[in-house]
Amino acid sequence: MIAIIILVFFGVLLLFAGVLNMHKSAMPIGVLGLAFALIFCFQDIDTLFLGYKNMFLFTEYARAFSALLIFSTILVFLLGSYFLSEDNNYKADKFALMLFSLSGAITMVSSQNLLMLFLGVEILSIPLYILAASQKDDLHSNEAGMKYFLMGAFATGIMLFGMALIYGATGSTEINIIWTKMLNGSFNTNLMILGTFMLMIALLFKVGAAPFHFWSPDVYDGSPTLFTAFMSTVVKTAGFAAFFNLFVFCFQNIGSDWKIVIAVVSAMTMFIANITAIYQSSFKRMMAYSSISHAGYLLMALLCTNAQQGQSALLLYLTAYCVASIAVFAIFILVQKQTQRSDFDAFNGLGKRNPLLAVVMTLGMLSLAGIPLTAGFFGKYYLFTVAFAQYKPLVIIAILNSAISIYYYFRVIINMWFKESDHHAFELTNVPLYTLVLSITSIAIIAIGIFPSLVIELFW
Amino acid sequence: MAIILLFLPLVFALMQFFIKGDIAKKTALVSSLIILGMNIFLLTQFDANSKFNFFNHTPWIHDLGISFDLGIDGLSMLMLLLTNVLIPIIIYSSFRTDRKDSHVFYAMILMMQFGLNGVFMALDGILFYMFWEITLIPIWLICATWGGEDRIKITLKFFIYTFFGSLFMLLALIYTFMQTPDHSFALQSLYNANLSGTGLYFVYGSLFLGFAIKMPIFPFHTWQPDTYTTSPTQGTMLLSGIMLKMGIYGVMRWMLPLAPEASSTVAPWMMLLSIIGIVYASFIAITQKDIKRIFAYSSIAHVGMIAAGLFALNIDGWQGASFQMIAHGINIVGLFFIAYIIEDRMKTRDITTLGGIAKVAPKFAVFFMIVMLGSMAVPLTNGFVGEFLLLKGIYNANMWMCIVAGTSIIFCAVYMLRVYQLTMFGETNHITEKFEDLNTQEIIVLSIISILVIVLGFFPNIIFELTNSSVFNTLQIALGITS
Repeated sequence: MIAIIILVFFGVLLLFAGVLNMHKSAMPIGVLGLAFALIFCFQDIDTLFLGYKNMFLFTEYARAFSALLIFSTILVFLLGSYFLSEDNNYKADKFALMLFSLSGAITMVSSQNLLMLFLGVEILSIPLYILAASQKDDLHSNEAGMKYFLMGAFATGIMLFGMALIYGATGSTEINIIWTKMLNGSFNTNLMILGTFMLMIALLFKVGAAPFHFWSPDVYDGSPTLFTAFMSTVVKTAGFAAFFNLFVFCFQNIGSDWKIVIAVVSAMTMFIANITAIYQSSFKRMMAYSSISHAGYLLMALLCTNAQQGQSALLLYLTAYCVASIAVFAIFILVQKQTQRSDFDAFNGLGKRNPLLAVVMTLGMLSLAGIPLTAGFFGKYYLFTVAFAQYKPLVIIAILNSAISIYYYFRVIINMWFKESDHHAFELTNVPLYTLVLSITSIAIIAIGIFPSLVIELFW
Repeated sequence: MAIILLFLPLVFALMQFFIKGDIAKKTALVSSLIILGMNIFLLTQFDANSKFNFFNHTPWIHDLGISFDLGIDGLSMLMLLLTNVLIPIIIYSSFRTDRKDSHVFYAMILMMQFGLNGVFMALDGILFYMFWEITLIPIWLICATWGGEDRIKITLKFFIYTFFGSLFMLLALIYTFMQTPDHSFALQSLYNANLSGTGLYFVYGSLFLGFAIKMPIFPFHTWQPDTYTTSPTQGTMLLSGIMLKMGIYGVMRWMLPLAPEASSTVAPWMMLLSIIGIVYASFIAITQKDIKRIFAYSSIAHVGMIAAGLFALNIDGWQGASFQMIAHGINIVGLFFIAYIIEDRMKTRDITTLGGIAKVAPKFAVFFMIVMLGSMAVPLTNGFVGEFLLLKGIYNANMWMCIVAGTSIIFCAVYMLRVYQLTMFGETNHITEKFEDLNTQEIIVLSIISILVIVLGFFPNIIFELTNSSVFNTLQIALGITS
């Protein structure tokens, strides 16, 4: 709770900074606020405040995912000042919107009440609709904002409908009460099934799983790259943490039928995303499909038989995914800013022009592909182990897809190292803050790749 | 001790990145010779009859049951020797070629050596898997950066194909791990896992997929001829000389002992696959024109024979396999070096356009003959000992399969002599006229290989003394006889 209060406070502060034209200091103020909030994620201070009417619960689970969310946002913020360097009018406001969105994400992961979950989703989404459309003179950005808003509004409607049905079935929106009612069997089965199904659809939409993924390539592609990075890390993490919280901790007594649905959706997501990603010529679109395919893998965490193992797998995979994604997006921002291109060929010959960037990019791609000694490998390893006990065919499908994904991840590596630059080669200049972000992320990728238990031992 | 041998190549590889220019070749060679020295030092401290020498146990990721377990028994020592003897030869064989970014090239070879040494020492499932994958990145980079035509497409296929197989291997290891009583990936715990029913066949099949793609066994060989042909010679030598032995070693150490109960029913079918591969690859080799491609298919045939010997599940087959791994490693490296000499001088690999080289280059003809005879399994060469034992092993398992497998020796003679005849004999033409005979560096490389071919043919016991007890022990586990 303290983290949320701090974030909102600093968000408002940034709005004032925007009014006072202090755009240059917006990023440092934001990072300061995030750092404060991050500290409180490691303190068990919230047990002192139990008076939220059981709306929030800052368990270890919530704090772990909050920390990941805040950490990712700090990295995105560090990328922000260069990305938004030409924007002198709304820079502070954009940072403020990210902070508000983040506070919504933390609300989602710590909610213990369906209404709070709904509020969290809305607080997360509304700033994002604005951010997606924030490049006002770009048609694609406008399209992205519009699409995201329309589709998001539908999904929200479905979610609310589902919640209403669950309320009708159990007489409460509190997760604890719903859980006990389900244990006792005192609920209306039909309403409950319909309600959970709708809730599931809405959450699948938020995490961008097939067949509710159609918005995400357009939105990810159209949005300014910085916000794409934010969406594909923070939103995904928050979505999955909330999904897991609700379905594994609360609905696990409802039977295992929903798990079969999740398994089918997971398989479908993996295939659709990976096969479509092969055919992309735009790097950014490829990353969008890659993020969908990771949603497919992540759904396997929901199929766990042991919640403890499941949440470890989820946390580790999301950490690995966020860290690698941010590294990749950081380099992509540099390339895009300096060459004005976003296709695969923009990376041609990067290995010669700027070997350091190329090495980090290679590391990021290897991690996303799940090659050993990178964080992504242990992420996949945990997920496979979790789902393997009961859903062997799904894990085999996941393996097949990991092999397919090599194709498009390695395409970038091949372009960087084995192809000559096709335009006048110019040096890409490193930006100090980017160097910082890239060092942090590459150290994290390797450190987690060798000692994966570090991440888990940090929290539980 | 084992840790020093393991990490020495990694240290050298990292150092190699900072060495620019022509000196990179020499530092790489010195590095690999130091590693070889270390390996020989370990050999002097080595006791072939004890179970695992230099055993090292360090907990690594405790909650997953993964530990950093290393150890060397006779079989591992044999593979380490093969790796660490061949790598200096491979590095030295590249001295004539000037490559762009050669320091990275040698760094990758040393990186590869790190992974290979790790694979042959690892006594923990996940550790084994990790080293297995670590070898893949450097070899992919070597082949994709310095390879020939169409290299990117071909090497990507190779990468995805083998990665796919090894993920199944990972799955099998995870499955076995789940059935272990003490939740550990240690080799011994995996051996003790209670596998039964479909799980047993799942583990057996998944591991087979991983190893069969690497070797490769028919019908998983489709990546191999293209990759061998397009790779730079040193890459091909690494792939065929050492890397495919990882698959054979994996079958002996991990696959068969993990699921001994499945072996008895499935092994004959696996043996059949291997033998189909022998005949199939031999037939294709006879019709090829590209010298590298012929050697690539000959490698499939030879590996098929080794695999058939493994699935025969008797001591002759296994001893033959471990001997033949060494013999094949030496011979194939020699053959690809010869192909490289021809290609380098003639700028073509098409044997039908060549001829009469023996007249202009007699020294080359002699060395080619020795290596070729070794590959054809002529008595008193290293190939003979291995193939004889393998055939004996296969015969004990199934006479008919042995008869079919035996034809491979004839086929091998056919395609090898065809290559030799078309390139060495006949009239010299305008291409081959200008063939220069070997220079000192090439003579040194080929002499070392020829000496190994002949010495191992005369004194095979050097190797059997090393492997006797460890191969016997492993086979006992693979047969399900627990001592």
